[in-house]
Amino acid sequence: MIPSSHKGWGGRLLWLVPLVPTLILFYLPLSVIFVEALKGGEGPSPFVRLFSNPYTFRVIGFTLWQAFVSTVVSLILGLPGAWLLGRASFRGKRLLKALTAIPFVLPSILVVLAFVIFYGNSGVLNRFLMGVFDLKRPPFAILYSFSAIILAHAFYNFPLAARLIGAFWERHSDGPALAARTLGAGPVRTFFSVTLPGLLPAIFSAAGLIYLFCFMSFAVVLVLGGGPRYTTIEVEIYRAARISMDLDMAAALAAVGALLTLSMLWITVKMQHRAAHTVRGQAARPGTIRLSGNMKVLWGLYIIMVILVVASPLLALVGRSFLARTTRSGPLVWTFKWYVALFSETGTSLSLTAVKNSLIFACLTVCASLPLGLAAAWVTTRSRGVLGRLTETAMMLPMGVSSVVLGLGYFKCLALFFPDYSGSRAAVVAAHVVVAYPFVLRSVSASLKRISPSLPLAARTLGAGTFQTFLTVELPLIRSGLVGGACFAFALSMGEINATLILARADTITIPLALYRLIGAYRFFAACALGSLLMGLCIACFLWIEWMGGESLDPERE
Amino acid sequence: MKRLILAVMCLCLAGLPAYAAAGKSDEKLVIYTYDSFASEWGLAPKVIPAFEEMSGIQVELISVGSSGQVLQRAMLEKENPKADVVIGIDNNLLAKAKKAGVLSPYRSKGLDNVPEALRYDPEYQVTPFDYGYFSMIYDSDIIKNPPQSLEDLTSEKFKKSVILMDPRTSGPGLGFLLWTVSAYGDDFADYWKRLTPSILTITDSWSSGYGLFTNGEAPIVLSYSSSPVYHVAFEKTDRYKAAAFKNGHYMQIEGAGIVKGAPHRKAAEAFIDFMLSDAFQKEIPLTNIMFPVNSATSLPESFSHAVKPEKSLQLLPEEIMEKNEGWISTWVDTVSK
Repeated sequence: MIPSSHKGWGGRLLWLVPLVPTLILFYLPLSVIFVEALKGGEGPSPFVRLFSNPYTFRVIGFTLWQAFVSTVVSLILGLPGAWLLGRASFRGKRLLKALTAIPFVLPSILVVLAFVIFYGNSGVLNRFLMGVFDLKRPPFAILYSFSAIILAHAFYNFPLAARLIGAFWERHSDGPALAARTLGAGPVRTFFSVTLPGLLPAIFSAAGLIYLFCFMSFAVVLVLGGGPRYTTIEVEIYRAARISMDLDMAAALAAVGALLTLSMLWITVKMQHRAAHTVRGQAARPGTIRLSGNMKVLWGLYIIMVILVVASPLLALVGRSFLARTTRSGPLVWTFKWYVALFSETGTSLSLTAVKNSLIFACLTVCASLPLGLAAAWVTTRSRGVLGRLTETAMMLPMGVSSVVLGLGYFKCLALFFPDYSGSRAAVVAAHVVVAYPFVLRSVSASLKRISPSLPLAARTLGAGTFQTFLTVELPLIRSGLVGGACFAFALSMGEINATLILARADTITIPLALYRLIGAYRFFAACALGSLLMGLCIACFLWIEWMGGESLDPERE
Repeated sequence: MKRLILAVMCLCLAGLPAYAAAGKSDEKLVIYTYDSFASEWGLAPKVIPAFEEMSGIQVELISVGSSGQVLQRAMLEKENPKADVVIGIDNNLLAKAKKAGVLSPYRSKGLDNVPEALRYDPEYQVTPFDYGYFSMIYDSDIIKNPPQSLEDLTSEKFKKSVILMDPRTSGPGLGFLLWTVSAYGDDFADYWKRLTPSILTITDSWSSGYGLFTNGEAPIVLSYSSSPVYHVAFEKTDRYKAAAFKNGHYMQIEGAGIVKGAPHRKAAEAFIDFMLSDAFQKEIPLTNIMFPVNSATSLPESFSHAVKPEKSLQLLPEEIMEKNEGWISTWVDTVSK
């Protein structure tokens, strides 16, 4: 630690960079809604109503349990991927990296459809198996069960785990592991007693985010789980806020949810800090292990699994967008008609406007959430003790509060402070930034915590200023964390819908909004087409972000 | 090159606060509506320009999500109303809207052309503009003998064949629960117990449920009796059919109301009149895929594929408001076992 580095005005001002936006854009609307709701109306307090019902405990219990199982499964599936992304060098690595954030850009309804198209009873997988083995019934009946929920959450999150942990692993020193091997430890023992503990800061960091994401899950749990047997808190919040219009209850539920996520985050942040102390060491150069022989087969198998879980549902969705039936029950043929419909039915302007708006929002979100997330990571890693952990937890919370409740809060706040508000693009970007920058924070802070204090200290001793030290020593070491954070911020902004609907001007349309409208108007295949466009667009942008981040196109050259 | 792009990005960031809302316009009519009404494929692009041209009033249409949110937004702004007209108050929301006291009565002359049975608000706070019946839609390629009653759905042959929606999060889902209540009374929980084996999944929204259905995941889905019309009119297929139930179908009537304290009351009244006129009503069948309330409006040919039941079921708005929460709790208990 260099206590002196955050003394003085510069250091203190740096605290304000992430704190002020979080307070204004997140904690203010949230407290407005809580205060409003807890002032109470007639009848018993919402908390009494909530906790006098055993159903509430069942819902809370299930929410925690499914989030826990999903997190563990995602981490286990993600670890090999993290090694691939972090240590190995192979062709197509950049594309694989770019693919990791794709699930996040798709609205949940499209993810559900993608799963059904691929894994469903009459989905691609089952029809294929039935055709090959001449079966009467679909052999692979995973949907509408608890496993389906876990599978879908793994779909979203194990790429995230691989990306976040991989960014950390990339600069992880091989020294201790090599030393262990030299001293006679086998590869398995070395992994579990040296390598894995070394990765713990990144693992806890990823676990916190994944847990939040699964905790908030709503449509995926309901539809793929098969119905109300599997209900998360978010479903009940939605019901209270939007259907029953029982705002007290919605606020009470949201408060319980926020409390649970806060304590969970607190634990992961604490564990991350503790783990960081044990592994602080020199940062190594990026890994360049080439795959060969048996290793190739093993990794081939892993990649096949990745393709099965992540790529196949998405490819099925893309495939669907090019297929149509010629006659009533005639054969499926390839066609561009859904794409044509997308751009002709309402004139070319609509889809183009949606694409333009989405891209502008996403780019601005990345530009704003990078400095915010970086500043937040910087100040929280450099401050000791409870205060740093508390702030870090508090800054992560925007990921863990129901967007339904947050939307209501925004609405109340706007009515309070700007009575004439009629929607603005700046407000949309601000909301996107608040949702997105915890990803940057998480992605960067694991790498920052690992940088040995002696490195910047040495630079300072040699006469570099704080800023110069940052630019020349620290920035290069956290580069891949930043790039990953930027990709996820971009993806989250591209996929966001709730805040956009509330805060944007009435005629502002984005891609996910257009998607929902298509589906609401029976145009499912055109929606698949627009979803495919969205994915293609995002892959292109992720590759561009990586290139901007300075990662070489050719991994062999590094 | 990269530095240049970085510099541009920094400039973008600096320009962010300047990228704010534009100014407001003068005299107009403000309408809150649900998203699929305002959508490019909804009624708005067909009827709003016609109204603007006819009346010379400039319309500001604001989409606030679902129809529940339309009412919610009006309730949140009760002290300082900004909207003049809210569109989307259906028969299940009516009692809630009245209790909230956010609407003010207006009896349009156009109501004379609306059958008595459809004028669901005797106080004229809400004016109906279209209606439909909840119905099971089935895939006729798979189901040769469609169910003919709610009871039929519980049959063994429809095991894991039905997709329903959750009444906690979806309008049609709530409609179906109320359907079972109006058909079975206090025994509706027993019915659901018998129905459970037939259910494949219960989705969060009509959109995901209908999406699962058109992807062939299950042969029966809860939707509207007019849904086949879309497939006939736009996809030229009569593969998807509505199952006519002899004991009747639960009904949904959609309406619009004038907000109490509306800033532009006269324009609002003109708009409600317009909603009942033929210019508006004739767009409903093929755009909203619902029945128009104006009995003088003729239906397109494709509507022969929509089931118009002889018997329609409805619950009293007051009863819904009073007992809704209890019904839903019973439902959750029954279905989650």
